[in-house]
Amino acid sequence: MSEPLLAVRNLSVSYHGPDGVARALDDVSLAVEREEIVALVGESGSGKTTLALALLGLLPEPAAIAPSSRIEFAGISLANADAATWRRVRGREIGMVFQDPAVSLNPVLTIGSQIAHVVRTHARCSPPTARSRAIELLDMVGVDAPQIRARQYPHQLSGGLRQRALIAVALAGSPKLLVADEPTAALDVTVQAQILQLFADLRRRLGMALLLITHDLGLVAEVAHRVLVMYAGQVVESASVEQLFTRSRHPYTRGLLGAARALEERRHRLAAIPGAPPRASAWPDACRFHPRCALAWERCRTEAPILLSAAPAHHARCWLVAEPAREGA
Amino acid sequence: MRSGWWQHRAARRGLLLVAALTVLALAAPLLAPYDPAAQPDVVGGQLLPPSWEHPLGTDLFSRDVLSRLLYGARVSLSIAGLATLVALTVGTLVGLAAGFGSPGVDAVLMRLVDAGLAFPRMFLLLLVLALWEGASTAALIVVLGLTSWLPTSRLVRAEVLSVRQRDYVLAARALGLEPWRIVARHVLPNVAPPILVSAALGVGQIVLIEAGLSFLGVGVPPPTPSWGNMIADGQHYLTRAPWLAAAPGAALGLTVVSLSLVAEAMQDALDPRATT
Repeated sequence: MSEPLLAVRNLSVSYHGPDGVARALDDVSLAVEREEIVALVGESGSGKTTLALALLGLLPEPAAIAPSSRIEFAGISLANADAATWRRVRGREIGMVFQDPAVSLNPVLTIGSQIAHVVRTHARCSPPTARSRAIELLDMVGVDAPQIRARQYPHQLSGGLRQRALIAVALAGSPKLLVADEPTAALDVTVQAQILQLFADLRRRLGMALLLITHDLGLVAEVAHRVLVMYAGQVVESASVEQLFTRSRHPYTRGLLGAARALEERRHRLAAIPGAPPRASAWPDACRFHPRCALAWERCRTEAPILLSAAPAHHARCWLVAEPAREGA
Repeated sequence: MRSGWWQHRAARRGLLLVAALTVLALAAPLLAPYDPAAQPDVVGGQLLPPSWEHPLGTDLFSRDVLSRLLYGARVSLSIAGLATLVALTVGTLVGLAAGFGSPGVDAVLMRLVDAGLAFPRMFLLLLVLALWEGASTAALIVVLGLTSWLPTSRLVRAEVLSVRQRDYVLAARALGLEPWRIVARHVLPNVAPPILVSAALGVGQIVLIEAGLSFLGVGVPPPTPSWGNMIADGQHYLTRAPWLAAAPGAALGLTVVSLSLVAEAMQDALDPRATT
């Protein structure tokens, strides 16, 4: 296998705020191969969005990327890159779909002109060419009557259509990797499935890779190839979808799966993970999940676990992988 | 959009009024029945009430008020329009720089604006015009413009600060748009409506300030008529010859009303969510 399209190694991001330092991301490593769909799953506050923003150099002002962090995209180094590098990367190498299409489209410009504008930013072409390319893109993302929709304003479209339009905007620079941050969070359940299907189609047709950021494991199962589970700024488990759903090794992942299954089986009591996610300015010592973990023992409270290999291409940040005998206890 | 513009009733009325005023001002030499500076009968023709010969009467020097009103429109409207343009340009640029620049730039610019706003404007204008001997109309425009941009820059900065936080600006950055393109395409259209409304109201204000300056003797020099110095002259004869102040006053009021109609319509037209 050649070099992955995107390789993040030991990425640490901290925010320096008035009440101390918040370590939003701690030593995160991940790789996305060409034409692969990787899902990043975690609760709010686990660092998912910080990771997405770091990939595009859009972290807000007080954030600092640790000097040892590496972000490599198709041979370009992106950690603490300069403005010229970002100009080359944003939009045409890495595209981004934001969470809420209601606020991520400019309300005073038509859909068509917003797409055409991005097309012209990345390719030298005449306004009419950009315009017809915009209509093509709208058609590609499954918008009916694209000529009419292109002339409409965001408020005239439904939520699902707006999300499709936002995806068309992100595709306008023909990126090799699309980062989608909670692309379905603001949508109805039926529309969510359609949008995910669209992502899967686009990957096949355009040969691009996708990094799908979500808190919903159920969505991931349908389209992703690999899954990374994040908790408290760290990757706690990474595995293929099959491995994750059948043989997950981290108690947190099992908790998430349990909550998802409970919903499917319509149990009256949800299998929730006890406790609340910790705050980034005060992660627990040692294993960050131990205060909420039913299986935690002395080692978990004193020694921070590393990512341990549970199987080929399956890692979990849990001492249970090293001491499987304890799982029965 | 363009057809929608014309369908807006207030826009149509406002635009027609502004167009009519502009035509009247431009065509003053053709329309005015007399030379605005001519004093045909200084003894018998003073302060004549409106009549067929002088539809708006005559002033203290027997000059025809209608002719002076028409010529005065050219002076007042061009001074107010150009000064507003100067104020708008400077105010928008400073506001964008403060709103989009680093916190340091913002702090310095806004403290300068604070200092400028703390200074009485009339006093500043009098000082500059008194020191600038033989100030021309062009100088008056520049001075009026350069003392009127302060509130505009505040307004623009506040709008920019709110717009730059919106997700679509972050999305635009994520898609590789350069900062100046984001300002031009995403920020300016969103801050334009309040700027244009304040500009339309600003024109009226500048005509009034010009009137005040002319009243104090440092505005448009006497033989040239302006609505400002006509109102100033008329003030002394409000009871004996009310038409002297009423005619330019009504013209000024009409201008301000029609401009604010246009401004209001622009606000609706620039916001696609407000359907007419």
